[in-house]
Amino acid sequence: MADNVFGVALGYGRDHVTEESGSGRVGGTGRVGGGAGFNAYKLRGSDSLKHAVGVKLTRTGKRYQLASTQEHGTIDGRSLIREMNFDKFADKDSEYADFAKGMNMPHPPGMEELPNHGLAYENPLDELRKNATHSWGMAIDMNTCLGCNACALACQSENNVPIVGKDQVTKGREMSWLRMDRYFSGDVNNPQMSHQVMVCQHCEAAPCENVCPVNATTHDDEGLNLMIYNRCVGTRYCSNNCPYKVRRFNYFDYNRRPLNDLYNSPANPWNQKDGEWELTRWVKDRSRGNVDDDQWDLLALARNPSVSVRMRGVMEKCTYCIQRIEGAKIAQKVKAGPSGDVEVPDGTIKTACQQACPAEAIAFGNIDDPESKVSKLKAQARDYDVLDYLATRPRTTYLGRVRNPNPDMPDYRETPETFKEWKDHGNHLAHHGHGHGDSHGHDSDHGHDDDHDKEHGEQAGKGGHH
Amino acid sequence: MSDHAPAIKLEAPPVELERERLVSNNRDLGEISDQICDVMERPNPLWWKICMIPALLLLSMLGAMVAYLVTVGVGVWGNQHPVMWGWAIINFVWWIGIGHAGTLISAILFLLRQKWRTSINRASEAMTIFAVMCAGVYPLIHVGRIWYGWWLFPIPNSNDIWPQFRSPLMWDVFAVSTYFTVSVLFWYMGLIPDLAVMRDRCKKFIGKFAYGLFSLGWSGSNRHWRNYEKAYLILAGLSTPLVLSVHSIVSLDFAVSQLPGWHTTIFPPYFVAGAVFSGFGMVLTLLIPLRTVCKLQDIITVRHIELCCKVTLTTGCIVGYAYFMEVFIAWYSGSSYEKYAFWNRAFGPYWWGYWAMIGCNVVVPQFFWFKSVRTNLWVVFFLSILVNVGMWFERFVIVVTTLAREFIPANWGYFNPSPVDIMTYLGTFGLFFTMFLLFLRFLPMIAISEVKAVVPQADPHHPLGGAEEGGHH
Repeated sequence: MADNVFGVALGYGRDHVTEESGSGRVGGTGRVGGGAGFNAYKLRGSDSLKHAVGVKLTRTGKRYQLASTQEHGTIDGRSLIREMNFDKFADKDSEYADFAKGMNMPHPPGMEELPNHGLAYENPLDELRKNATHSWGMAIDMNTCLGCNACALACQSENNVPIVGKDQVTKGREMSWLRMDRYFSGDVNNPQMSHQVMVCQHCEAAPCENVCPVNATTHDDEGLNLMIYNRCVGTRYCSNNCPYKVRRFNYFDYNRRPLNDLYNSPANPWNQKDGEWELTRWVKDRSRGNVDDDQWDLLALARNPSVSVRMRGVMEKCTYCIQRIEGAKIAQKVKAGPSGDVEVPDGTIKTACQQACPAEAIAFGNIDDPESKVSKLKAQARDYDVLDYLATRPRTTYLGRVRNPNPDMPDYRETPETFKEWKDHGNHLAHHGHGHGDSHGHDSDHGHDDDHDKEHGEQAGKGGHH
Repeated sequence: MSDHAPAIKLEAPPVELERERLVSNNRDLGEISDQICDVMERPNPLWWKICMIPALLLLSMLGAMVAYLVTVGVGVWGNQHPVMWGWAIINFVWWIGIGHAGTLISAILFLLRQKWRTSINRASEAMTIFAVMCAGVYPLIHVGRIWYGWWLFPIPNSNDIWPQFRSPLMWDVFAVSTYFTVSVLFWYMGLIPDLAVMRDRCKKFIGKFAYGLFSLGWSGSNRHWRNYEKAYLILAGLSTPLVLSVHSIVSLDFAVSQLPGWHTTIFPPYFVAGAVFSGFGMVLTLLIPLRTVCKLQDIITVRHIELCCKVTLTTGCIVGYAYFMEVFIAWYSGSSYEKYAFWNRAFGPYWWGYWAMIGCNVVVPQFFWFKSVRTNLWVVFFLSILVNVGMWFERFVIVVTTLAREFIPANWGYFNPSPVDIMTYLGTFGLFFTMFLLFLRFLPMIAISEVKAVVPQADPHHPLGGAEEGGHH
């Protein structure tokens, strides 16, 4: 936006209170709208329909908390998002052609030769995988992703993810299983923006699993990192140990209590609803909680019947839409009959996020099938693991973004700002030249590697100028 | 006596070679019993009532806060998305750290033949047990579904699912419950001869009955003493590794995870040193006022206070070294995530927590190098409180600062405690002080029989020994 211009989103304010409900004041648009936002139409009279000109902004000195799910904008030189300019990437001889894997953190000497993908220990899952019919995996192509958030919305409605309200969002308790991370890098006044869909990575060596004291999160043989709601006691250790921070905790009974009444204890004797104590209501019908009757019917209809609704005190996270996977597997088993061909054909299962994506940036399927779409995407050079150095072996991998800026435009950059920032933090591209987990021919010593990198860097730099 | 052998008169050692006595003013054995028992036998003093009222109020507040938490959910605390552990875990680690001094004093100092421990071991052990009780409240209530907390124990159940033995939280369950059990047993063992003293002195029936029941028929016979000494030695041997293991295991809650700032091998020794540091801080905070209000200055002398200060100084230096080493290793590791984690501690949004920790835990104990400070009880009392403030901030820095900013910057957050967090924490003080004040009134706060063993009168070869100057009664 240009300087001295101020943009206001119209139509979000709800300050008109019309109704007094048992559990407090609600807005004119119902329970969700109560006290949300401000009326910006006051600025826009019939004389200035599109622009209010001559408006003066003054500092009131007052503070107002905005409910935002992301407060930190810099990427801090971390290789979470990997981007390259097209001209550099297209030069097959340059180190930039392999930028995505080149931004991996170098292994300590000797680790690369370990047989198990650079891990010191064998993963028991590898043995299980040999007998599994499928190995589920996902690839997210950041090149095609627009950042439109359709996936986030689809996930929320498919998986009965509760809406927690403004107050809980300000406390950082939104429940979205899938979120859109965004970063600004480069010049503060003219930054480059990059975004990344972040969701459970279904790590093969999942850090969340070994810290749960009650076995509430475990792996199955098809590579799903499962969350067993019934078993969860809510120590929240799994979330602390998750490097991607994609686990969400039910701090309240979001599904059974009105959002404006979360802090009211059901045991509170003054907590009456229709002349009945909430605790009595709860004893009579333990699933209903304190939600108004009409709202309860609506909520029940809004839920996806194939997905469990979680109670307070349990952790939840992306399941790769396990209800769809299981549905497809059962259908395939029925179809296969005595033939025994129980492998679900590629493309049968679409996760909710994948289905909603207008750019088809998300692919999901069997990574043991080399012909599946997801396997083909993962085989591309742009494929990389986020936080590779933790060796969590995520089943969800990302395809690095290739930008194609016009050199004649003022916002042209030699390399994407995220890459530049990463380099400025003292990192340099490692010359891998081989796929993930491939341990052939890396005999050259490090000094030689560095020289190699420098040569390529100079070549690519020259190439960039023409 | 007979005329064939003249009695050998031992000369008292020269004054400059004589160590400062552990019980000052040459109190004889009977007076020691009287002094210690007087705390329980005299009518309820005013200071006790004044302390008990707020303690009970705070305890009720703890009950109310726990009831509110259980009926509503963990959301009543300040915990949020990246910072899933907040004050509950900070306070758990803080209280359990305080609960380290008692067993260290009673077990390790016993094995090392440090006789000065006798004046302070009983009260410190009581402090340990009550601190572990306060700590134990938190792991129980901090989980999301408290009614299923028993799943952390290996109890056979119809689901046929065992706890997950790879989880450090699981190890915590065993470490803390073992420590608590052994501490209580050790404390009770040491109490038996003193309970018998109370039984013999008590005039009311109910007291006679209760002390009589728990003194297990102690008659002070040679055989009883022999068994007692053996059992005490064995329990001291069993408790010694536990002093080191509990906080090592608690530290593994952090060290086993993979977060930058948590995943460090220095944690076990560093946590144990910190625990002893905070434990002695709390011992000083409690004993300095107590020796005055209970008129026990002869038994808990300034020398005892000084020795506690020296332990605090030593452990404070170890903790300071650990802080320095953490920062060094973060730099030396070459990992940008590690480097950022420690930079963030010192200069990030929680910088005040880090510098409060450094100030209280590294700078404050350095004052104990000076004898003039160690013998000025007002100053020691004030500094001992700072030690515990600093140790609270240490846990705050470890838990909150680490979780608030780790791998994925888009997901960083800022933790604020809720009033329920604060009131629950204050409530545990209510639990602690209620228990401690009851202990003062109903159990001898100093091990009577052990103190008697370290006065010169107990040594028949000492010039003051024997029956002559009021030794044996």
